[in-house]
Amino acid sequence: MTETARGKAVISSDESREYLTFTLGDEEYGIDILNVQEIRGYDAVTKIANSPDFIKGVINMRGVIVPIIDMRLKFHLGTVEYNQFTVVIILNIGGRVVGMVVDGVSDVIALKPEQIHPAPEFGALLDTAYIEGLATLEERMVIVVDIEKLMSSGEMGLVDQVQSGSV
Amino acid sequence: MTIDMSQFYQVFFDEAAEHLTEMESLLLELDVDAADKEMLNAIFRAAHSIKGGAGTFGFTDMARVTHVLETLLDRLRKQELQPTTDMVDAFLDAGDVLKAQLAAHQEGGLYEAPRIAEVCNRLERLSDMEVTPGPSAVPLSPDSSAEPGSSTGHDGDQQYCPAWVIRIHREQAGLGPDDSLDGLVAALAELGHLEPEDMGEGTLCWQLTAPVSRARIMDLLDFVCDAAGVHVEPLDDPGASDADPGYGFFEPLVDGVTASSPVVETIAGVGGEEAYGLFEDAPGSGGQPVERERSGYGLFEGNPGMLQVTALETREQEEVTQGFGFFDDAPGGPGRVASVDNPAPPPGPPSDGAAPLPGGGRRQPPPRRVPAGGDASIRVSVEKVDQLINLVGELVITHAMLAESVSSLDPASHQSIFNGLSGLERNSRDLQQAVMSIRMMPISFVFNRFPRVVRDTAASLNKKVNLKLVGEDTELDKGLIERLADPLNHLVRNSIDHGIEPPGERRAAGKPEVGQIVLRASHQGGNIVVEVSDDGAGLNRDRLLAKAQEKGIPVSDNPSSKEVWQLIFAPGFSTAEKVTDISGRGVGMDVVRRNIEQMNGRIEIDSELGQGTRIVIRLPLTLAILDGMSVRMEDEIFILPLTAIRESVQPRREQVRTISGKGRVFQVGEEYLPLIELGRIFSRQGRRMSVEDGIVVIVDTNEGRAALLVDELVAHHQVVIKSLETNYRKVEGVSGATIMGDGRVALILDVDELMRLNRRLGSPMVAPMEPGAGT
Repeated sequence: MTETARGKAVISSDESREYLTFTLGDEEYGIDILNVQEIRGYDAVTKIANSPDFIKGVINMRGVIVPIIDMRLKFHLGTVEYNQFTVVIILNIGGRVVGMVVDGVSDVIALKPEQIHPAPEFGALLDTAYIEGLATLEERMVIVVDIEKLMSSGEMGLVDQVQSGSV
Repeated sequence: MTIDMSQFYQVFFDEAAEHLTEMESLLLELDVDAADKEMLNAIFRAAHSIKGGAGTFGFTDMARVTHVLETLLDRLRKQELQPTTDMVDAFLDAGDVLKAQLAAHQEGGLYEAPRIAEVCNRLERLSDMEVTPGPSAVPLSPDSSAEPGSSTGHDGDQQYCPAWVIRIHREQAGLGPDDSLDGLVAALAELGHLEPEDMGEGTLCWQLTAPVSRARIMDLLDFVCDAAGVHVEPLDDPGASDADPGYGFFEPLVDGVTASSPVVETIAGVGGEEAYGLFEDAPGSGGQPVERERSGYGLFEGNPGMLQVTALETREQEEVTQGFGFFDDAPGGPGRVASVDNPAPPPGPPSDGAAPLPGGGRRQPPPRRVPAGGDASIRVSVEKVDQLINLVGELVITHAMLAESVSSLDPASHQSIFNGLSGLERNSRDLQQAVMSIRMMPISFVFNRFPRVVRDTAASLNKKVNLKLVGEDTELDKGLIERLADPLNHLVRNSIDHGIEPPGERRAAGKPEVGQIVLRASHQGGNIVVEVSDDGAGLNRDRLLAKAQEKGIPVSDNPSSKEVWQLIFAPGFSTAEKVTDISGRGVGMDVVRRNIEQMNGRIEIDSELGQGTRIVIRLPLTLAILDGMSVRMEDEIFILPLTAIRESVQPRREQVRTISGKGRVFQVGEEYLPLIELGRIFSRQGRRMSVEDGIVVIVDTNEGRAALLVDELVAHHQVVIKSLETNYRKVEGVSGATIMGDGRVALILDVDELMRLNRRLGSPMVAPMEPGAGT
């Protein structure tokens, strides 16, 4: 995984890349837009037994069975409610499709690599291992997340452990 | 010529595999005492096609083996030798070697085994046997059999590829410097392989590698230019023709023919023109070499008429001629060839050249693969078909969703919508069926291997067994066919080993010495039923029970026959007195059952002591669709495979007993079955509902029967199976998912895993892991 992350950084060293930003609680996160397949509303999910509570279940997205995870539950961001404003970001990570419930989607921003600064060891809901860095945009701070790494980590339980090494 | 041949490898692999299968089945049908010449020809043809392809693609090891194989076959079909069982065995062995080589090439490796040399030697020995000179014996080149291993060494010389150098002097030929010759080039290219040589000023030069006569080329050239400026010369260097992929298959003949008598050369003198006319017409001719070979070759060999032609005088055009030594003495249809393709009488001096004709009338040419330019079938990757099936599945679901949302409308005022929807339903159903049928293949793909299996197994056990195949045309899903092969193989071998008695015993029992095994396939309802039955000794109830006791397998007090027969599926169960390399280790039958169950199938046994055994496998038509019952648990819908369901029971409170530490059991009749509460396993609350509120479904698991408690049975569905693992991971207790009519996802239950989950739930040690604990 680190290999790919580094590889990406090298490729993009002089080009700015686009990031989709979303909010979780008070924080704003950015993910590589190339991992985003679509953004949609929250549908009824089919629960999956014996899975962690942040895995809401699976939905049928045009015939594809897609697991839905709620990042707000994952990071214990208080009460969550599902209404017509609930947003699901459908991610495509190495061919696997995953839906991610967030508080809201805010923007698409372009960042140059030098705008992304290394993150300090604390201060985010996420383990720093999954954070590429911090970027400042006008008055806001955006936490740039390596979503591929996060989603394929054992912590999320989205992939079988045997596979997680290779994904 | 530097065409990248590797792009055709897959085609060769597929075709070679087909030819091998065909060869094997023909060999098994072959009656050595009264060998059918057509059959020998067909076998030869198959071997020959493999050799041609192997030579073309540079798989010299395969070409070498087929070459030896072919040498012997050739002598057989020319009736120089009488077929013997020994030969058939040798052929089958050679077929196995070829299969192994093919498999190795497919993986990019090379099959090296002493077996190759053994087989080759054996074939050579057989083909070196005393010749019984036939009337038409064409002397075989001594070196073809003497040094078969070196056939690759002289590939170049062997290949029959007359090549021509065509030079056109622009001026002399009356061509302007700008006249386009594209048409000519295209026409020449149709004849064979055309390669432009270095063109000097004012001179055009090509090298044409094609088995055509000079006249033929001149004919073409006449259209565009003056003959004065044209030179057509045979190309001396045969090595150059090596590049032509189309002609590798002539190898053997040339070998025989070049060394040969004038007789051979004469043959084609007459046949040449007309015969090659056919090649040109063959639809495959411009295309892949293998294709071409088949079409051309199929028509030729088998020409009895060619024999008569030998009487004709030698003509010029030696090169053209040579190839035809090959076709001599074959029965079949030059008559047809001549009359259809060459309305003009053969150009040879003896105008009784009509001699080939009588041959045609004597015997109908055998039915052959029609060289219809490959329009009869296409090869498509399974992936594409699966994608199509998926899409159609989506279409059906979308329709169901539409229908559901429309159902609230008033039919009277929205008649056109309802009409449209019903039309859509019909069409999408038809489409679904049509697409499904793409994946369907006749079961003969599996059945065809069994004549060989039976033959070998019976021979190694000194038993006499006759195999009968019934319903080979029954179609089922390709995926199932592949997975059916192993279990069936096992059952058949078992039948021969344990079922069929040795001939002596059979005689004593008043049965015919030759045992009979029947493989039968048929459709029954939405299922495929495959049956393996034998007329052997049958299962011995007492012995099975005794064995069960010995192995400590629990059996009810007064078990029904069915229950007793099911014992043989228990792991480690074998009643064979001695372990053979065929069966008896007791690892097989439980694997067979597991395999069948993985395909959502069932396996049943029927047996009568002394009369035989019948094993019936029931399979769904396809792997992609599951027949299931939807059950409700709280507000979730689950699908229970219909094959797992025995019955459903309205439970009463007193039927449920609690066993401390082992959870609850459910009493059905005399039996206590473990009670699996779906609510407890799948609900986050781990709730315990009262039994009377739900319904109990008795299911078959691989650990025996179990009682599954659900809230409600909803309906019977045919559902499209989707994998959860595509985007998620394996979920315990669930084998997959499907999409219901309302667009929601329903999980498909796996009763075997539910049973395991339930046991874990019951044992206190794992209790903290209970569902809901994760939150």
